[in-house]
Amino acid sequence: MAHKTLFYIVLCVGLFRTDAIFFSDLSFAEIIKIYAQYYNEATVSDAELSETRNIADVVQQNDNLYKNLTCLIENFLKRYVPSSMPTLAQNKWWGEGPPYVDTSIRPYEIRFNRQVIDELRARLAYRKNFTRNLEGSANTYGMNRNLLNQVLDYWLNRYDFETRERYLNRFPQYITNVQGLDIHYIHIVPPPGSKKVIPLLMIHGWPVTNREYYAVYDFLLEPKNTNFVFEIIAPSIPGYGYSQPTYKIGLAPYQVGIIFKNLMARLGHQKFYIHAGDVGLWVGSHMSTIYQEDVLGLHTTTPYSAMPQTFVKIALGALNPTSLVDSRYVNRLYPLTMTLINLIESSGFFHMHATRPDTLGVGLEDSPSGLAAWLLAIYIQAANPNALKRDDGNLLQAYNIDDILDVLTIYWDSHCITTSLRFYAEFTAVLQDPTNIKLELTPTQVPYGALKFRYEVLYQPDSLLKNKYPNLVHSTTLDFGGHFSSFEYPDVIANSIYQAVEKMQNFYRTKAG
Amino acid sequence: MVNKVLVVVSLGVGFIVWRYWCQCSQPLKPPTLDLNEWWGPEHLKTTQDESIKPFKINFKPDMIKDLKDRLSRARKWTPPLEGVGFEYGFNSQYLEKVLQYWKDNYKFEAREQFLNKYPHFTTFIQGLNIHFIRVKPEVTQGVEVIPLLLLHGWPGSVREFYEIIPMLTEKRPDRNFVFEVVVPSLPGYGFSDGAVRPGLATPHIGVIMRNLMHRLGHKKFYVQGGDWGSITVSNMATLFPQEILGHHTNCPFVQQKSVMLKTLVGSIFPSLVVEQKYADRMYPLSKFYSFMIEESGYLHIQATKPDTVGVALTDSPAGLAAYILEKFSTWTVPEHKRLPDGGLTKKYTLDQLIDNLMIYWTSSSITTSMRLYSEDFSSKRRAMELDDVDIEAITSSACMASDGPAAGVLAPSLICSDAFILLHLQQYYNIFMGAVPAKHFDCVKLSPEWRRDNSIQVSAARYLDEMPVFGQLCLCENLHSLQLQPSRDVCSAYLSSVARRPGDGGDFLELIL
Repeated sequence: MAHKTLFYIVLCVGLFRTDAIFFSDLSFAEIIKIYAQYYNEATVSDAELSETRNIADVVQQNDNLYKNLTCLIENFLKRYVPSSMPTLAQNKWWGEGPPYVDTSIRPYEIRFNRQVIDELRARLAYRKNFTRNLEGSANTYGMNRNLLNQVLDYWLNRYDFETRERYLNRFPQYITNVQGLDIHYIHIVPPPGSKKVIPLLMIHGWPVTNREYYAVYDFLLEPKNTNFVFEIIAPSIPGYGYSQPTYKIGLAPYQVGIIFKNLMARLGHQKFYIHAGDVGLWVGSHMSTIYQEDVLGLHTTTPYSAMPQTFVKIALGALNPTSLVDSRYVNRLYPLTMTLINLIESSGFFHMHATRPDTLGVGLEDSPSGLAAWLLAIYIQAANPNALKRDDGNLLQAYNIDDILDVLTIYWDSHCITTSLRFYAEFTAVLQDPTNIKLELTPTQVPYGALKFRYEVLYQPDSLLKNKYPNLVHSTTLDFGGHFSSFEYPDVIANSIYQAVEKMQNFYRTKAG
Repeated sequence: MVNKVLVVVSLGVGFIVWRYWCQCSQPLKPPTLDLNEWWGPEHLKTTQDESIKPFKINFKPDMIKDLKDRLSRARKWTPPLEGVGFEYGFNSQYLEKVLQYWKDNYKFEAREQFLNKYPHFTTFIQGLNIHFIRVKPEVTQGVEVIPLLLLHGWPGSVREFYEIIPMLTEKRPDRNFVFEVVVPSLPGYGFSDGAVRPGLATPHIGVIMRNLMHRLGHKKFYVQGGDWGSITVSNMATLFPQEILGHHTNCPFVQQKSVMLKTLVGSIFPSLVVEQKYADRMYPLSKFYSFMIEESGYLHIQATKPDTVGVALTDSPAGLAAYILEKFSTWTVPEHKRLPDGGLTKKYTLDQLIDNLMIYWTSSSITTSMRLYSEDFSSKRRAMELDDVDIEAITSSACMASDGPAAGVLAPSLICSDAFILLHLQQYYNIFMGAVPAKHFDCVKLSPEWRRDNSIQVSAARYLDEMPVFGQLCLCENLHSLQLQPSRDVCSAYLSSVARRPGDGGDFLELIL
C-alpha cells in the first residue's frame, strides 16, 4: 500500500512538474526556458543563458534531487523484490477432453482452404460502400476509405493466393501437441558444418504469426563471419495462425512461455536464445525470468522494463530529463504529458482487445474488410504515427503489400482473429495475479539485447532497462523504423541478433573465465 | 531526508490543489457559437430550403435480401471460452440465436409499419438533413401544450422513445397540460446526415436542435436527454438559458473541475459529498475506476479511431449486432455479463433490440454515430470549457438504481455517477425541488415573468420526474444510465424522492412560488 501511494505521489509531482517552482526562486518564464531547452530541442543561446541567472544551478540542483530521490526509492523498493520464484505447474492441460500424451512431430504445409478463399473473395467483392472520411481527416479518425479500398482491391484481384502459398511453404513447418494444444512452428536446421549450432526461439507479436520473421530468417541464414550458425524455431502463439487455440480461461503469457519451453525440450534444446517482440516479448520476458538457467539470452525490438522503480524514475526524470536520458533521445520520452497523450490516442485497440475481444471479434471474423481495416490501421500507426496525417498513410511505402496480405490471409484462413485478441484479455487478467506480479517484479540475470527503432511505442534508456535486465549487453538506438521492423528492416534485426549473441557468448566466457 | 521528501510532497500536492481551485473558482461565461455554422457540403451552401418534409422509414426489398444474405453466410463463430458468459464480450453461441431470429423471425414489414406509427419528418438545417418525429397532441381548450425535445444517445436512436411518446402526449386527469414531443435523430445517427468535416460535437448539436425547435415555431421549450442526449441538452441549457424552460435528464453528471476535486475529497470523507445511503454508488473510487476501465474500451476506440472499427460494423450485420447489443446487456444490469445470454431478453424483446439495429443498418450510420466520441473528446471541444459554466436553466434529474441483489461487486461502482447529483445540484443555480443550497437560490432576483413561467416549469418538470420511471421504457441506455435502467421495484427518481420528503426543499420551493 505504502509503495503504491508513494508511487502515485511521485508520479503526480513529476507530471505536474511543479518541482522547479518549489526549489528555486526563478521566475516562471525562466523555468519555461529551461524546459524548452530539454523538450523542444530548441537551443538556448549562451547569451540568453547568461541572462538567466542560476539556470545551471537549478539544473544541478534538480539533477542532485533526481539522484537523491531515485536512490531513496530504489532502496525502498528493494525490500519488495520477491525473494523466491513461484512454483509453476509445467504440464497444465489446455486441450479439450482428458489429458493424453502425443509427442509425435508432424510435418505441415500451409494449404489455404479453397472454399474459404472463394468465400473471402466473394465477401470482398460484395463489400459495402464504406463511410466517407471527414474532409481532410486522412487517417486520423481511423482507416482512410480510399486507402482501404486500394488494398482490398489488390487482395481481391491481384494477390496471388497460390504463389503466396508456395512462398509461405518455403521453410519447413511442423505441428506437435504440447499440453493439449497443436503448436505450429517453423524449424530451420542449418546444413551440417564446422560451426557451432545455436538454437534460437523466435516469438512473434500481434497481429502477425510466425510469418512475421520470414525475411529475418533469410538474413539469419546468410553465411556470416561468425563461429556459429542459428537453428531457428519459430512457433505461433496458441490461437494465432495455425496453432490451436485453447477454450480454457487463463492462457496468460507466462503459461505460453511454459508451453514453448516444453516445445523446445521436445526438439532437444534444453538451453537456447530467444528473440521476441510485441506480445511475443510478454512470453519471452517471462521465459527469461522463469528459466534463468536455460534461456541463454533475450533479444528484442520492443525493449521495456515494467519494474516500479522504472516508472518512478521516469516520473522523477521530469525534474531534469537529461539526468535520465541521453539528450539526443530526450524527446522520445519527454515531455511525459505528450508521451502519455500519444499512448492514450494510440491504445484504443489494446483497450478493446483486453476487455471485450469476443464482441470485436464477431465483426472481424465476418468481414474481411473489417479485419483489414483493423490491422492496416495498426500497421500505419506503428511505422510512423506522423503518417496518419497523410491520405496514403505511407502504408504501401513502408511495407511490401504482400507481406501484410499474407498475414491477413492467414488470419482469415485459420479463423484466428478472435482467439488472437483474447491473448490481450489474458495478459490483462493476470495483472493482479500474485504469480504474474512476482514474475514481473523479479529481475532476470539472462543477458539482454535491445534494438530500439525510432517510432517504437515506448522508449526507455538502458539505465531503466537494467532494472529488469541487469545484464544488458547489447543496445542499439536507431533513427529509423517502427514497431513492425521485421517487415521494414529485417536485415537490421538479423544483424542485431548476431551482434547480441556474440556479446552474450563473450559475457559467459568472461563470467566463466 | 524522509522528512524533506514529505515536506516536498505535501507542498506539491498543496500547490496543485491551490492552482486547481483558483481555476475552478473563476466564473466563466459560455462561449458564443456560430448559430449558422455549415456542416454540409460546401456546394449546398446557397440552398435556402427551410421546408419540412414528411418522411417514412423504408425497408427496401434489396436491402432486406442483402441483409439476409450477410446473416446467412456466417462461418461458424469462435466458441466462447469454457464457462464464460459475456465476460469476454458477446457470447457467440447466443449470438447465433439472435442472428437466427433476425433472419427468420423478425417481421420486416410489420416492424417497418410499427416504426412509422408516429409522423416522421426531415428538414435541412446548417447543411444537414435532420430527421425527427413530431407528435402534436389534440387538446381541448384550457389545456396547455408544452413543447419538449427528447434526445437519444449511443447506441440508441429515436426508437428509444416509442414507448414513452404516448405517455407524454396523452393528457392525464390530474394535469392541465400535455407535451408536444419532438424527437430528432442526432446528426450522423439513423436518418439524420452526418457532418462532412471535423468538429460537430455536442454543443454544435445543441445549436442544430435549437434551430430545429425554432423552425417548428418553438422559441422556448423543455429538453430531456439521456447519454449523448443528456450532454447535448446540458450544453443547450448552458448556451441558451433564456430559451430552455427546463432541463431534465436521466443521466445526470457534471465534469466541472471542482466536482473532480470534491469527488477526490469524498474518497477520504464520503459524508462530505454524498448521503450515506448512496455512498456505495460512488465509493470506493478504485472500484468505480476499474469498472470504468473494463467497460470503456468501446469509448476509447470510438474517441480515437472510429473509422477503423466502423468498417467491420458497416460490412457485417453480425458484427454490428454483437457490438451494439453487448451494451444492452452490461449496461442494463452489470451482473448480467455472467449469464450466457447476457440477460438481454430479461428487459427487452428481441424485436425492440433489432428495431434499433435496423435503424443503424438501413442508414449505414454506425461510423458517423461513433465519430461523435472523437468530436466530443477533442481538445477543441474541451477548450470550450462548457462543463465549467454554471447552468442557469432549471434542472431536474431522474436517477434509477439497478436491480437489488444483482448489484454485487460491480454495481456500486458503476452507479457511482448517480451520486454526482449532489455535486451537480450545487453547481446549478436554479434547481427546483429540494436539495437546493439556499445560497444559490436567489429568489430576490426573480422577475414576475420568470415566476409565471416557472410555475409551469415546476409542474412540467415534476411531471417528468413522476413518470413511472423515465428511463424505464427507454430502449437504450448508456454508461451513465446503467444505474438509470429499468427495474419497477427499485428504481426511483432520486430527486423526486428527496422532494417528497415532508418539510424538505420541495415545500420550500412551493412557498416561494
